[in-house]
Amino acid sequence: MRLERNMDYRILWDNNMLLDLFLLRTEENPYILEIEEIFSENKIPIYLSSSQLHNLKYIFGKYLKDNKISIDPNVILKKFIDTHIVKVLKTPSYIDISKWCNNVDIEDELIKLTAETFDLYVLTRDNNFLEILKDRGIHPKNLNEFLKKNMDKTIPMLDLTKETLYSYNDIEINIDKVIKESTFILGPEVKELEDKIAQYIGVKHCIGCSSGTEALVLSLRALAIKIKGQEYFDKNEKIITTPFTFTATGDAILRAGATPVFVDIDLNTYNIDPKKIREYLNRSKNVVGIIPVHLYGHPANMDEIMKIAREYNLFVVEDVAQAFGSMWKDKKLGSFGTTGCFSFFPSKNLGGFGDGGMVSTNDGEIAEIIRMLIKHGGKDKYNVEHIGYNARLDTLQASILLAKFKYVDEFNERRRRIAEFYNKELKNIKEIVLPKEEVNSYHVYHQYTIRVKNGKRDKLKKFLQEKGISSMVYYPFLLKDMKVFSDRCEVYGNLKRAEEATKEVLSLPIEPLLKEEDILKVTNTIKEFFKKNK
Amino acid sequence: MKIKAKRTKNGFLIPLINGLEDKEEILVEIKEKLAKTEFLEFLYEIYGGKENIFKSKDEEMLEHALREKYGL
Repeated sequence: MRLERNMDYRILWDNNMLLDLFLLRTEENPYILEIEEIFSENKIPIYLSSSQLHNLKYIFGKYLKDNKISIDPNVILKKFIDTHIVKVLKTPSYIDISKWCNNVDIEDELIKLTAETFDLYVLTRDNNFLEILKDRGIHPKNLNEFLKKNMDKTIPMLDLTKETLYSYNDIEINIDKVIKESTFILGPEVKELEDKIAQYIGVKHCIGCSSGTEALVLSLRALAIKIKGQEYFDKNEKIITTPFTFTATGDAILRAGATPVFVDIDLNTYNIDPKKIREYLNRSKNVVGIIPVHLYGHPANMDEIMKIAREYNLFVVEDVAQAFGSMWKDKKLGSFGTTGCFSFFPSKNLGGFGDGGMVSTNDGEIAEIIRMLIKHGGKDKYNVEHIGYNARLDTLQASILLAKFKYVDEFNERRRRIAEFYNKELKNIKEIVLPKEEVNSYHVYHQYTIRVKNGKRDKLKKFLQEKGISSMVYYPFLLKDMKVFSDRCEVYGNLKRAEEATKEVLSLPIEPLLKEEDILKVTNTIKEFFKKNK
Repeated sequence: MKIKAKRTKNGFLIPLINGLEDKEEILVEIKEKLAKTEFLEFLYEIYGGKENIFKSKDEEMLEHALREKYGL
């Protein structure tokens, strides 16, 4: 396994640098060969502003022609593209047009504007331009120093800008299309995304909605309408779920009128323990359904849960918010239960530029009810049948998600490789419990979560923070301990394992584009901590 | 034709291969690797291993190129 190296610098090359390279002008730029080698060997992207392309091509072509070099410049440009990571970014339209009428170098202004828009540095040996760029400019003689200085950066939990830049062209094309068509509510992109995800998950229907939380509420409301013929469940009707999850899971049960029942988890997966579900069902009545949460991207045991659901005639609503693309026995999550509920919150494995969600189902009637509920409760929004919501997925979000959907499998695989690397580096630390991938499971590591034993979790978190490394506790409280659930839930047993998890879990930085050096910095800092804290 | 030569104590041993049996002597051209990256190697090959063969200024080249393009 080889992860990418820590060279995710955002550097735009000015045309003088590109021409120095294409023409081998080592007298004018004695650094150019070394710089090309650094970018090429370390796969550092060479960013360009779209405004640069035409002039660059004209000048380069003219040089070759005038010097009677009998090679088509396109061949050299193609070779350049094939042997480097070249990323062209847009030149924004919002340049101050008055500058066009002044004596400013408009070419430089456009490059500067692109650099500002995407927070890029500009590599140039044009001293006038460097003066305009100020801190954003890098002279080639200073590049090495710049790279070294920027190696010592902090490591956040995730860097969404990096992820966005990776697929920026696809996103830009889709956004421009939505702007052009202006069908902002339930435009064709929503349907396209629904169809693509339904096919991907392996279900008949997908319905876009405004968030993962709403996906849960909509599912439960639709089930109440279908099963009971009433808008909400009754308070004495119970839905079993995990206490170790994000608030939304339990909150959705309350919003659908039912009472959440919290049973303990399996510490190997942090997911609901099917044995505890069965134990509770053998002692209790009025349970209508189960909501398993595929926490951190690891599937819950769907064989057992579906078996129990069939035996007790319960519905299953899967909370797949953290597990897009994850599988149980090679079958995608979200295709087991009556519905699957997905979140497209920006940090998710498939995340938008805001809130968004989706419900997957094979049940045509449920799909139809949800389609009404997202639009105020009726097929005709001016004459509604149910107590509905304004909970549609925006066309703009759908278009962005469509662009990012192309990369979701690649990104999940990257997350898995990063997890493997973490495991390899941390396996010898006795006071850490590493995340497991259970048999039949395909973990997509929305979070890489370790358990820190002997009460050292918070101290380690602080130590990492001091070294510039972010980490998070998902989750510090059980749902049953939150005020909102205090007199609105039922608890089965002592939830000892879930309690243990709240005190020990620590999620480390993981994102698809995290580099080997970043992970090594994290793991070496953890090793250092345990050396000092024996 | 590329031939693999084996290192000996005093130099390299070139094997006798088909087509060269009747030759009294052959000329061997030694090409050093000019560049470390694929792209630079490609450029050096195009420019005959030379650097700095272009002496004009970018601004002039652009002006001339645009004149040609717009027929000025």
